[in-house]
Amino acid sequence: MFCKYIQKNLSAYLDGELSRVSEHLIKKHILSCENCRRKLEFFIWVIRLTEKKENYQLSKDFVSNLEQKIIKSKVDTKKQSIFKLSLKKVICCFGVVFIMVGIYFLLFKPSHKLEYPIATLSYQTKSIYYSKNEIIWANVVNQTRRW
Amino acid sequence: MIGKKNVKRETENMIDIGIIRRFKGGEEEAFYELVMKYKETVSNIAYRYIRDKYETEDVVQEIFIQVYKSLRNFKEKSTFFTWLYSVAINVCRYYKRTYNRVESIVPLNTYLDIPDIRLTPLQILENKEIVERVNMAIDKLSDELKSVLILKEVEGLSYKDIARILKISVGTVKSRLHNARILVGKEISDYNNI
Repeated sequence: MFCKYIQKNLSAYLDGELSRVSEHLIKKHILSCENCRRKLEFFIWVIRLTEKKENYQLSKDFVSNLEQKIIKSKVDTKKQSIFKLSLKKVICCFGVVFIMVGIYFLLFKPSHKLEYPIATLSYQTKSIYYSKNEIIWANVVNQTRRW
Repeated sequence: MIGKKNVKRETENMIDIGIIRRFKGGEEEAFYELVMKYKETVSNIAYRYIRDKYETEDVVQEIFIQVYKSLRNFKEKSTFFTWLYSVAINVCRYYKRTYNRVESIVPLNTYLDIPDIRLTPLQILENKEIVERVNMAIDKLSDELKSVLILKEVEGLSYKDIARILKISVGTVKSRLHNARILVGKEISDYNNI
């Protein structure tokens, strides 16, 4: 059980990422446990194999090439942004036209004068204003509706 | 207790932030100062990931172009180098996924030399084979394990920094690194009793 704990932490132990208590426990255990010591040696071996030994050398004109690429990418993004702008403009124009047409239909309703009505209804509306059972003011309107 | 390494990192980060602010203020040259400072580290990470001498330079350029494009959005919440490394790892992952290079053209023994005093002359002769095995073993690792292993072995970053770069917990870094080393070790040797 303890060996399992030790072996799980051997990698972190070699990287110096454990607490002092854990480090002490591992050190103490390794002195007495042959199996865990072998596994520690295994990890040391793997780390030595995989660790970086030499730097990768970039070409001398790396920075100038990068500069050119950045300038090119700037131009590309500008082109893209111009296209995006024009697309936005087109969408805005369509929107404005749509709103104006809507306003026109809302404010200036076209008159629906029917030349040949199917039915005609004539009626009279009266509005009378009383005060102390006396008629003060009256309005009579004749109206006609055609369908 | 704050380690010397941490103090150095913090100082470096403050310098970087100064450079970034100059860049944000419209000073283009400031970006190239960052390129000069980090190009070697970034190229080492990319090379370990891509394993192709000729493609690495293009990938490194792509990394810096991405950095250039998004540097104005860098909010200084994290240290610059963790941000830069995460961009580098993401670009490398994207590159690997998109182009999926199967075999590297140049073997890694051009840069990975293994001087081991414990080896006998016969074993030294076998070094070349071991290097190739190491390369193959690292290549076989999943993206998650490979990223952790590369950041640890190339840059010697702490678990905390790796966790920040890859946006995972320190515990996950610990277990991934442990697993990666076991897999690489198993692949290299016949050490099957781990």
